[in-house]
Amino acid sequence: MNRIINIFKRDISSSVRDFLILYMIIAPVLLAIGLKFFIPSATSASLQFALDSSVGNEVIEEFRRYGNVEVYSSIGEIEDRVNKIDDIAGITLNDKGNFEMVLEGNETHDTKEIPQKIIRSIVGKEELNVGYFVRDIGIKMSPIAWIGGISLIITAITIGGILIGLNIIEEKESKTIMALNVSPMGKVEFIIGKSIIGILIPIINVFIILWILNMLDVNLIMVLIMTLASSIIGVVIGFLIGVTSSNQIAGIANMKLLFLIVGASIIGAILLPETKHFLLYWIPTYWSFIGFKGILLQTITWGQVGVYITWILALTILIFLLFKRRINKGLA
Amino acid sequence: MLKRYFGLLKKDIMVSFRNYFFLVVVGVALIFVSIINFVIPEDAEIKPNVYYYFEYEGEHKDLLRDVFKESEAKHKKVTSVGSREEILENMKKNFNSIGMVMGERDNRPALEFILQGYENQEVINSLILSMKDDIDARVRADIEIDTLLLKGEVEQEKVPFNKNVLPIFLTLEPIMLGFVMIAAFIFMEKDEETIKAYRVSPGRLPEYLASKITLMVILGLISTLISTALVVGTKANYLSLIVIVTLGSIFASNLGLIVASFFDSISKSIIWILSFNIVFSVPFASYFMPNFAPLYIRILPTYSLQFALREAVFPTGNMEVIYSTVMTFIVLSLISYGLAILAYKRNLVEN
Amino acid sequence: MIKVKNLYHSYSNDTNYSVEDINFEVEKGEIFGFLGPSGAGKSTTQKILIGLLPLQKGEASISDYNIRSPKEELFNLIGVSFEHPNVYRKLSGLENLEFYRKMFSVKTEDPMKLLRMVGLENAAKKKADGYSKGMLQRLVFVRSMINNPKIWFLDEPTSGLDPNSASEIKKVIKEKNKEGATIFLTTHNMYIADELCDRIAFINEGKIELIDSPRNLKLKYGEKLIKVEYKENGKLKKESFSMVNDKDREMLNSLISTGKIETMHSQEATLEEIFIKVTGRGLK
Repeated sequence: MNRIINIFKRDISSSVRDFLILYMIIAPVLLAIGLKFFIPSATSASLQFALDSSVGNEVIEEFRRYGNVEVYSSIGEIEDRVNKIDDIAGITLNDKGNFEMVLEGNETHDTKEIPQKIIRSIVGKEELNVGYFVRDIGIKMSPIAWIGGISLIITAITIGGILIGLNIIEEKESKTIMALNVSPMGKVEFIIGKSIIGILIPIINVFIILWILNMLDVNLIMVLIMTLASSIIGVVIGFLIGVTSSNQIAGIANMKLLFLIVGASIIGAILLPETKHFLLYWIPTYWSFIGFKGILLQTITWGQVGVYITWILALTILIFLLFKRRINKGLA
Repeated sequence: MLKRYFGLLKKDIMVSFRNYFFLVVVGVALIFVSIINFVIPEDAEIKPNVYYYFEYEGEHKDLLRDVFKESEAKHKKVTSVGSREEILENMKKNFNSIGMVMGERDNRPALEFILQGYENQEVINSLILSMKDDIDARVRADIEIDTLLLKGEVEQEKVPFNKNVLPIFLTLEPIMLGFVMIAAFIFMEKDEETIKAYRVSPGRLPEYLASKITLMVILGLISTLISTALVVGTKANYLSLIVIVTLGSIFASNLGLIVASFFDSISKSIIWILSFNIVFSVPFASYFMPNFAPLYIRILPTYSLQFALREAVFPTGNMEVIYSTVMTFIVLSLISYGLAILAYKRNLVEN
Repeated sequence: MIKVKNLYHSYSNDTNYSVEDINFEVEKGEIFGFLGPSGAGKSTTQKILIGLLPLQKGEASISDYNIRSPKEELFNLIGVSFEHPNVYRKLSGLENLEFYRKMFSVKTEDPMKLLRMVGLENAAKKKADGYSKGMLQRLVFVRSMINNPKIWFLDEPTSGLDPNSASEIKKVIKEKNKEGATIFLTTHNMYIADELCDRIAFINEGKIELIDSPRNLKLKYGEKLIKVEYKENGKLKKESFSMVNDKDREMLNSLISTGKIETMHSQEATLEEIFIKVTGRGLK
């Protein structure tokens, strides 16, 4: 036990000395702050209209009900604006005093259609007497918020693992790993000692991220357990990168492959219909993703948490067993 | 000068080849191609699913039913269900969905929208407007609205969703590759101290960095050509594509060099490189929601890059976006190359 | 060929100098040794001369090129053999040399010829990953010769080598010197300094203590010693006697007259002993 603490202490002190741990904590915090600003701006994203001031204030106000309005004083200005890369519909009056739309041509369906509907609602007289009502099922957190939050959490956890890996590569290059192996320090103790950083930092990170994003009013014990389980994946992957890479280049190459798989599990979980999710079952971070999703949206039960964690741990153990010999050989 | 550049390049290619770098780049491209072609559904959409239940039995029944039937026929994501409960059940399973119930209230037809709860007022207004317009169109004369098209009419939605992801991959992998990887090369040569041997030869910094950047461009082009050929075949505008990827990759590599120059080890720099990488991915949101383009996204270089790549991969005849992006990146590349040289003049001198 | 005047250098950019007021000149065709324990400032001085460290204070020039702003041509003239074997591990010995020769715009040596010179011809196509430490050392050594340097910087060229390879390397150094190369040799190994150098600078704690030829140093600082083994009360005893010390001479005379001596050798003082005498510390 003492020796484990010693490895941990040495890692901490060497990491603190060169700011590594500080960076590990600060970087996700900065990203979380960025995300905090991004979420409302993306959630309130709506259509954009470039209106000719000649259409009059009433019309301008009417368009404001459906999106962002920019007012221009000539058709030339509107054309310049419409020609920019983003989607915006230009509205002006033609010689006969009728409304005219100005489009680039490649806009999405809504940008082409909605302005026409607005104009028709302004100029159209007849309408059917229908009542329109709105209610909702009470989900206040936008998908952008929880997808962004979870992606950041999983990124922070994965970075913890990667740093273990790069750390091992650096130790291999400076040959300190050899010194460890001739000491009575057992490999298991070495592994546990190294792992503590990869588990402790993600836990700190996850809670800071949730705090910044105002998402702390969820079941925090579930968050803790999910983070613990997920960071164990990070640690095992970190060891794999560390022992299979002979130098930094190889380490970065492996990191790329790792991020591809982690990214695929998140994007797949968002885009794929549920019937195809079984394609992602083999990726541990898939279970982290749907676990955190359930926790943040407060739709998860303890039973589900148990199932997800069993998957994560079983997959992690499987990966560990598959590569056990590589890890052992790599540490020798 | 040129002899040294090619000597360095040959060496860099051999070193990265023997570190399986080419293999990894080809592998990543192939994995991504399989994800695009086989995993991401062709008909996936950002737009929400709509579940509706029609229970109205009044005098306008046929007219209103036609409105829904037509909508169902036009949009794949509109589905009729058998009850109000079924709507709620489906909505709970699918976060990107809404419901509609056509019924009667106070002796007149009533259309009730069931939303998730996070939608903003403009979106809600547009939804109501959209249905109201479809319904009113049945009882009023056609209102034609003239449209001035500045360029050719293009239906962006015609490109299958999965293939439409390719420009994102091209931005993320071939172009940002240099940003993430170039530092690893520098740090490896610093650790091996081979860089010292280079520095006591007549070889100078500009060609040393140029060789590394060229390697990144070569790797990026390999990844680009493999993925583009396998996803869209011969339809792409390959000349534009190569020019854009080359320039983008040069700029990204320079940026990677500059960021890495502030740190003395790969593990420290990688945290920031990955963080910047995430920031550079933010414009992908605008790619899928083209009407969402706040200033903080438009100033990121990846913003125009992804649209220029889309134009190169799925040509619509809008060369303007390619020209302006290419010009921007020529300027950015030159400036960043100069800055990278300055950064390493300082950084490579031991202290 | 090399001129250094009032050279100072501080790693912390203050007055905490690692080398302080260094002055020396190396003549054309000379082998100049920089002898001192590790941390004395040998490498710092050399790194400044070859441009790996900036010139902070003082003046230095190599072959009339001011090294404050080193020109490309200067690097065509010099060769540097590093102590740490810094070669590309994923390239073979031959590929390493082929790469390095392309960096020069002067006539370069045939890499195979160089590899043969240090017995690496059979490992030429093997990746440097698989080289032993001695092989790497020899590879770095011949790499520094690829541009036929006029001024050759050698940093511990024989460290880690077996005696055979070491003597081969020393032979090459002597040959190159005969062909006209000026050599700046940094080492803490007094034997190689003694054997190779025309002149030696003793460097300790950042300062040059003295500069002279090994022979002069020995004449000036070394005392002749006689090492004697003799029997006394049936036991074998060993003792050294100085030839300048009267008391010692007397004792030796009495030993000779009593006939107790078994063996007797004359011995010169080593550079290490002289170094200790001058600086008050050893070379390790």
